[in-house]
Amino acid sequence: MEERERHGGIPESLKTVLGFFILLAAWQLAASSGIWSAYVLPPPAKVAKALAKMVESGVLFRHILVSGRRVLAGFSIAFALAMAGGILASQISRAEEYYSGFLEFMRNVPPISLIALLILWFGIGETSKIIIIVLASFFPMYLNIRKGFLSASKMLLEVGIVFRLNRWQRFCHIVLPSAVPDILVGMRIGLGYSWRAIIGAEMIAAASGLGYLILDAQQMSRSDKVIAGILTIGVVGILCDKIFSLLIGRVAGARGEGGAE
Amino acid sequence: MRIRGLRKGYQVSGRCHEVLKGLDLDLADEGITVVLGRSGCGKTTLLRLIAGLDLADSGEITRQETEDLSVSSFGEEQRTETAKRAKIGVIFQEPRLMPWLTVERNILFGVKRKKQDRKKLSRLLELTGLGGFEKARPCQLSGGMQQRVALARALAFEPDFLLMDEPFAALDYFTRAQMQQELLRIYRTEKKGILFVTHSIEEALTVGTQIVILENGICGKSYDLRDVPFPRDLLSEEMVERKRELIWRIEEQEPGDLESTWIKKGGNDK
Repeated sequence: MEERERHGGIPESLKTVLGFFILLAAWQLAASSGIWSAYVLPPPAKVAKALAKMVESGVLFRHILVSGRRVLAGFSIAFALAMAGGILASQISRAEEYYSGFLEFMRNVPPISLIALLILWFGIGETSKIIIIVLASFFPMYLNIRKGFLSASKMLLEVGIVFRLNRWQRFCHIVLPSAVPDILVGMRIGLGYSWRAIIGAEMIAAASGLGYLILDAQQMSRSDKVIAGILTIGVVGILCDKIFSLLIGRVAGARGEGGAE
Repeated sequence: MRIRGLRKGYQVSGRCHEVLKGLDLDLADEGITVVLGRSGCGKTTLLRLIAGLDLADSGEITRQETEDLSVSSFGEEQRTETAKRAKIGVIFQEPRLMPWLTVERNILFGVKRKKQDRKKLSRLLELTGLGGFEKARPCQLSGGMQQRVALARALAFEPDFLLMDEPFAALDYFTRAQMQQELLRIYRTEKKGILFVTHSIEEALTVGTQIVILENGICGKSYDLRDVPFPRDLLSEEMVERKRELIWRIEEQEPGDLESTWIKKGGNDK
């Protein structure tokens, strides 16, 4: 399939747009066929109108901002924890033996399953939502960062010893820079997980945010607004991911490694 | 630099394989001492011990009659202690450059920020023939160019002594010959003590002011070439004679293995 794409002569971006366009046309066709009511499947125009209205009133951006802020807070905490955990795992090799079992357990518990407890302990305020994000995004970041730190080239580390760098300097000047591609990959996956987690958390306990927007629209029987909300989540997610893939590509390119994923 | 009674063994599948068996060696502070020997004779081990990358089982490495850097029962702190006394630059077989840094950042890798200055950098760039490449990344350079960067990086560190572990072994014949001449040129301006490890007799004869044969874990016969001026013509009668002697000498130590690699390949192995 890749082979065909390469010889197709149509630019990649156009293909992406074309795919969306076909989907849109199918949606329009299905909606206007009259098989489903406008409540079950609102036509694209109606969704667009709802979207435009929410943009106009600023409601949409307010919700994006609220969700975004939560993601930023949770993601930053998770990143800091993952970095700390990665440093610990790579610098004190025996430390990991003590906590790896617990981490493995937590990794297999979906964060959303903890929400009942979190609400009980922390209420429905920001804290429990941020904890959900931290739990969701910590693991992909931790595992990638750890891998990055542990796979630093022994040969380059020896260069550090020859130039009399101490342990900390070797970490800063050799281990950390060589782990940058892995760290970025972890951040990219972590951010995606954060978005997914916050929407879930907001649908269970929130009074604002994109998840709440969808839940609220559902309760008002506004399926057009529900779809508008879903579209927004998708677009914001893609934009965040794009930023990271660009960054990863630039880093890899500068080092002469293969391109981004 | 004085090395006395250096021993080092490695555990290979449960058995201790002793590579260095009480090696003694004196290195002049000026001049290129070439340690010559077959693959696996312990050349690299010797170099790693001097550089402080590995710990000796016993023996001592002392520098200029200063304090004793006893290497028996070394700990991590003692290892750094060694480094504090003798400033040693190492050039490995591979360039070992930081792929994320430009050429100039790589060259200044071992230099403290406060001591970095442009004049020194441009002098080194010129000396190693890297002018115009300061902003390039290692991946954009050829193997020979990368090794030049490694050389400049080691010189920027301003070491008292340079260790070179078959630095040109991975290069093709012509690049290798060129780099050998460049090394001699740099040696003439920098006048540093250099320990050069190689398995190539021709390379040893081209760059060495002293050739030491490493055999059976100790230093064997040593040849003084200080009186032979650079650049040397390896095809001159005198050098051919010396080469023949070296081949004999190295062959002698393992009579069972007469099909020596360098005879077959005319001295330019690998």
